[in-house]
Amino acid sequence: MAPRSRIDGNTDIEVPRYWYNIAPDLPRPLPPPIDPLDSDVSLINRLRELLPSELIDQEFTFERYIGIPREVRELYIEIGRPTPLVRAYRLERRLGTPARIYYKFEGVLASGSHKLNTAIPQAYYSYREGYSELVTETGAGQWGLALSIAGNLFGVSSTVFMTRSSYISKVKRVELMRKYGATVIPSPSNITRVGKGILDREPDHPGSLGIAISEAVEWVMDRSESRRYLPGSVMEYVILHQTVIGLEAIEQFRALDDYPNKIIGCVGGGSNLSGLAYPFYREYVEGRAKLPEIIAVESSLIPKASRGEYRYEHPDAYGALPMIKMYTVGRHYKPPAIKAAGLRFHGLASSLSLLIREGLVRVRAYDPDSVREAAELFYQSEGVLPAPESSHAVLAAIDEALEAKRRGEGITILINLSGHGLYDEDFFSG
Amino acid sequence: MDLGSRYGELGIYIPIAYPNPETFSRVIDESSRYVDILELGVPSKKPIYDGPYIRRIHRSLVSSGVDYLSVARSVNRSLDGVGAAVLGYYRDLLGDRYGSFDDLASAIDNLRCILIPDLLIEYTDHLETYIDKSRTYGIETCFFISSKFPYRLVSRLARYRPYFIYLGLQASTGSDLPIHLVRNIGVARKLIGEGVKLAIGFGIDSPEKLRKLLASGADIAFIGTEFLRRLSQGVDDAFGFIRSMHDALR
Ligand SMILES: Cc1ncc(COP(=O)(O)O)c(C=O)c1O
Repeated sequence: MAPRSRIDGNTDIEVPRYWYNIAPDLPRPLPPPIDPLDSDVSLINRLRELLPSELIDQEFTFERYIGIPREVRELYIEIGRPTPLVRAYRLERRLGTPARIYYKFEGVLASGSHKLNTAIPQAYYSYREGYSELVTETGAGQWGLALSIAGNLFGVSSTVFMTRSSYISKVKRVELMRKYGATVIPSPSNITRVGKGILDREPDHPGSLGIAISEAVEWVMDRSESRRYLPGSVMEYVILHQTVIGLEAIEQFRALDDYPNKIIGCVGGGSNLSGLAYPFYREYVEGRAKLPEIIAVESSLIPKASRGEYRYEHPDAYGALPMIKMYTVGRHYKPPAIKAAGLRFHGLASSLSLLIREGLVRVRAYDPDSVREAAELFYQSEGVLPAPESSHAVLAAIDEALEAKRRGEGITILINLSGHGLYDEDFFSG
Repeated sequence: MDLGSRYGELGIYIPIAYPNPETFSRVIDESSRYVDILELGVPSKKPIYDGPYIRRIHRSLVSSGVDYLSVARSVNRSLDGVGAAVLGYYRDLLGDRYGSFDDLASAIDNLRCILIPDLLIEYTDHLETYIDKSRTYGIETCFFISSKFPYRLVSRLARYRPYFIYLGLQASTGSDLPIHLVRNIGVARKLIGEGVKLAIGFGIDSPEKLRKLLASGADIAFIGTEFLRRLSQGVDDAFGFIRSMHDALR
């Protein structure tokens, strides 16, 4: 029977009215952030000078659900939520698999990726608390662009430290951020002490998200009365905001009378996968459904989960932020300049790390060439160009679909297509 | 003390032998006039959930090489009018080589329980060991939780009927992040139920804050960093402060 619509998971569902906090449902307590043992200042207390109060509170809330402010929810709708749940019919046929492959397409959001789901509330709370400049790091520019748009919606300016390798190769996103009034600075830069220190030693340093975070933090500390630092991943509150993805997907699957056996997402800091998967975990905890197999896909060149250690580490290179317990390759790791720049982060969100540790999330690592081939196959069959980061998830889905074919299993696979790759002009060219 | 007309109970946290054995012993002597419970800290090389202030204290105690067990024994007599709990990290209490759980449990006569903040976060599998050991020494259990604890675990802990469940209000001692503490205390209260005491601590530094937080559903409040800060100014300052906290509870 021919499908009635490519958008099988209808968008005729409600945008969620709350976010879901997984901590109350985790199998073990989430280890708290800590100060390094040799530090004489409290980096934990320093968060007061960096983040909007409301976001600090969300990071440490004991509640399972947090209401989405009315203004934020209205903006969610205006920028494209709910996002479609799309059935990849043509990819399925091409693979000849009995598996059903769905992707939750966050790339249709105004900025082109899921990052807008947290950029909007982060900009909203900053604006409401009276701050006038949003400061952040970005890899591929997806986060920087999302924050530039969100800042613009509330009339506040944005300053974006962009890893140098991406600043050079992702020309379009730099341009698009600037169109929204953002100041974009290649990192390491010579406007911060951290950046200068690195450039002195290594003038051609390609940059890393860890360094860019340190620069952003320093920039905020220099004028913390008007600036706030807003991270694009890793923090628990970022994941909290991203749960709109999974909450919608559950409703969409309900309408289809289907349910995923496998949920797949790429992992930079872990926010898009967690945002999609955690609400399904809740369904499991509450006894409404089986736990899908959750698969985190990383780049084999930044193998934090598959080859890293589970330990306390700073999220930034310099060590200006409190340490969190996570899988990490260490903050001094110099990540190769891969095109999936959003995956170049050295660690993984604490809750996701804990779930990996507990065996509830599986990890896979893929090399850039295989990922690019998967993206091409997806593009040729679906007409949708996935972001290089998301293409890692696509490859895992293809592998799973082929495995299902070998076994003759009609399973349901759900991918987070966290962004489109139309501005990743460096991706296919090599 | 008569609790009927009070907001709740007051406790202070002081690392054993701080700032020196003599002053420590004086603090113990006098504190029974103002506090209901003393929380005695085991000097640690790795007090990871403590803020810089308390860490410095641990560092100086550890490097001074003070024999905290004998200091703990020597204050026994003064503990008559006041309950005591010991607080220490897992490796210092139950770690293979250094564990002083047994020594402390037998050194202090009216010890109510031994609180190990990292037990359920880093050493969950050792929960039964902890419970068994507490039972062996005839003391109660008490558990540390944070706002990032699973609901099920908190409810389960309450079923062990511990002396108290201690909610760390902040990510570390002495920090003061803008967290909706009243709400978090409310959640903890609901999970624990009414039969078990809810203790709170971390960052309580004024009589107003103390009163507000106890009124929101906690039973015992522990004062740590601020008390120790005052103590470094002098014993009188510290007791003036504790007296004001004590008076705030009426
Ligand atoms: C499209 C896209 N997907 C995924 C990621 C990885 O981040 P996270 O793991 O937080 O979703 C990024 C990060 O920049 C991104 O731009």
